[in-house]
Amino acid sequence: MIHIGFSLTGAHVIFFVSSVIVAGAVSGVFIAVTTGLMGSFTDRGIQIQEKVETDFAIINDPTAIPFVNDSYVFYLKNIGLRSLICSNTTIQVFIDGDIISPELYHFGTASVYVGDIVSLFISETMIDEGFHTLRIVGPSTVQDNFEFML
Amino acid sequence: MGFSVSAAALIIGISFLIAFEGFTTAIVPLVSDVHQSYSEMMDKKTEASQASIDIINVSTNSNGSGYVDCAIYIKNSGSNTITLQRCSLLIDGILTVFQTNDSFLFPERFATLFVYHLPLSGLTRMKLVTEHNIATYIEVNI
Repeated sequence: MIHIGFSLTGAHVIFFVSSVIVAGAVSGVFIAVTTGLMGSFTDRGIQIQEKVETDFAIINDPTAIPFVNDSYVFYLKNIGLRSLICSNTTIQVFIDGDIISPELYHFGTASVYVGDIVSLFISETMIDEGFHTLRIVGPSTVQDNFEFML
Repeated sequence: MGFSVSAAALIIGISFLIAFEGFTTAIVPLVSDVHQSYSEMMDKKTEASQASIDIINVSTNSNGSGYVDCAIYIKNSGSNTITLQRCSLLIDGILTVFQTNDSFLFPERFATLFVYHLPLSGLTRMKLVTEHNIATYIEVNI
């Protein structure tokens, strides 16, 4: 009888330990997946926040584009809620739908605060006389289009 | 057997609560921040839709040698206050620094922008852009 009683208790102990192990494994997977999901939501929310707060406009006079040192000058005004980093890697420039190589344009300053203006210099070789469309794509794919005549 | 199942269910239930609490802790401030950013941007867009500015007149004074000083009279014809230091002035397409005695231009009020020592002559086109990207033009014969 003692043996039978011990076998019955032993079986219960084995069942209990194994169920706790399985439950622990399930819990671990559950927490790990939820933690990963939380991280993704947080990152996505930060991206959305950046996109909402970023905005700029090209404010040139369409019929009078300044020409300085073999480059045409375009003025970008920061009308968003955060500063903009102005570099060839953060901002892409298109003329009439064609992307401009980063070596052919540069900015007057490295960043522009809210309400301020940064000058964009585009090489004259990229723009001939006539009617053109300038499209600037900044961080978080915020963009502005500008039509002008040389 | 029943006790084992109960213990397993208890462990899983507690882990679910912990995970849910962490999830909520992360989501609530995130949604709050995004909502705040969106609200601020919408307020700015609303201000822009109510903003309007006009260049009323331009007076020039030649100081010799082909250079002129200009006084540009502007009026806030919108319903929002305009911060003059955040306005941009382009003369013949070139960004030009101006001076003014006022920091803010209230609705239906006037202000004067001063530019000095510019090599202007003939038909000159001026563009004034506010902080909300509201623009006004004027052409003057100097």
